[in-house]
Amino acid sequence: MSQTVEPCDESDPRRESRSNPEDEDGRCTLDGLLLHMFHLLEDLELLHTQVNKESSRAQLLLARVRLHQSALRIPAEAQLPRGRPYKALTRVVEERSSWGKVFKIIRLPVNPILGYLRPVRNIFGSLVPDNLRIANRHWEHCLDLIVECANIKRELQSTIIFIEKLRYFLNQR
Amino acid sequence: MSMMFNAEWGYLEALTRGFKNGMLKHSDYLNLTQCESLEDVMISIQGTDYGLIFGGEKSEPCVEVIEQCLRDRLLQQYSYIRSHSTEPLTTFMEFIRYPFMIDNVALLVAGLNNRRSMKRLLRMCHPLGEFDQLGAIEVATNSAELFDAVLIDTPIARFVPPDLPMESLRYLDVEIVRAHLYRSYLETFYDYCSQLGGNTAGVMTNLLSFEADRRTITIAVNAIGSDISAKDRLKMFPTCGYLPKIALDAMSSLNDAEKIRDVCNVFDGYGKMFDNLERDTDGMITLEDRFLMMEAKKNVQTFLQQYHFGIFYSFIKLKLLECRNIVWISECIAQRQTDRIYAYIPIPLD
Repeated sequence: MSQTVEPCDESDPRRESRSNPEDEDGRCTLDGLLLHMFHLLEDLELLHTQVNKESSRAQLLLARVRLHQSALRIPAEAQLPRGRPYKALTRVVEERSSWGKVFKIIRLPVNPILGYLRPVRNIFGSLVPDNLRIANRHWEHCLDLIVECANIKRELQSTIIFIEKLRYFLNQR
Repeated sequence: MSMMFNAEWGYLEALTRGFKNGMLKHSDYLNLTQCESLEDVMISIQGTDYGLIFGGEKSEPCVEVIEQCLRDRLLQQYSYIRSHSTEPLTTFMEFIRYPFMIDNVALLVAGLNNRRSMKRLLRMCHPLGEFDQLGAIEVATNSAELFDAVLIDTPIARFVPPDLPMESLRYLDVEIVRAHLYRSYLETFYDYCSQLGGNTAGVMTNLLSFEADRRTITIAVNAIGSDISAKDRLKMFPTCGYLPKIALDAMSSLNDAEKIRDVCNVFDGYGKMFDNLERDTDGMITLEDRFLMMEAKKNVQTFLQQYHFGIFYSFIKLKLLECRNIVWISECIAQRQTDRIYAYIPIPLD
């Protein structure tokens, strides 16, 4: 009985030991980029979940404040938006990075004379209960998470563009 | 006194005890916490002493609708007792309404200072705090005019402290204005109850002293880190509580919760309020909750004695707390965050 043997072509480019070293490097880079893209997707989903958790917690804290004050409407709602002008304590700016532009939060110090007011006191008055202070911390953390989300999305878009360009380049060779 | 009391107010006391017996028990709260939607909550509530309070509601079930209907029921019960009362119970019942009037006035002052529409503000007011001149407030264009022209003829006028700066009311924090009015109200109510004498004086002075201490400690803690001076904080502390003047002076100048706790530790019962608070990092169980639990316990104990007006005050307080608990449970269900649904304030009626 004879077995059919496929002819062995030493120049077959599908054989790993016969592939072009430059293409090999390109494919490794593509693999790295794809892995990076999946990591970014995972990070994005985790951040989305955290932001949802923080927002939900803050909503529940608001319900708790209403329970304490025995009112569905608290005076703070009658005061918003504030008639007295004030300056934002938190600014979001864009900065350059290795792969593109990223968002960065700048927090300015509280200075009532220059109009930089503490947000929780500006909204809820001078006598702020504990749960509103905790809600304020949740909110600030939420802000950090959202900016981080935006940066990851930008990096993800940039990575996808790199992948597409690299694929096009490899297909052309 | 008991014979005279029964002749005048026996019927109303019996009625109030009946209302209190119809309040939600532990088993009713368990039923509510197991509901999966707001429709289930409404059906469960209708199975209790509340009855068909949602009968006429055709709108989508939401927390606001539930809260509105519960509030209307409380208003009905209060109005019935008030309209069938004779003096001095009538005045006593009016005193129960004054905090709501103060809250409504604070809301209107806050809105006027920020040029909000009066129609929108009036819709946000609590119905128990409505008074005849509330509609006339619309003519006031600023808060100073509000006090001088409109509120001067209302029951709230006597609670306005003479040293409150009317001309700078626009820049004064509305919470500070409310604290001043509330202090004056509490001290006036305390004096009124003391004059009534008998069981009423004994029961009400105890409840109001606790309320005064609670206000003092809460204001002291909430003012930490603010720019309110020690002298201004002291002006907001009611003086009719169990805490002596030396404790009030000490707390007015403290900017640390631990030091306030040390002052409270000297007086039996108040230091325990601060225990284990730092373990709850989510802000669900705070000092305010501890005080609400103690208040519930004291109000239930009021019903152990007869022939006094304290049961009317305690019933309204307990009913308000019950409404808040139901609203809290509804909020947890509406937001699908049922892991915190058991954080309502228990009322030890069983």
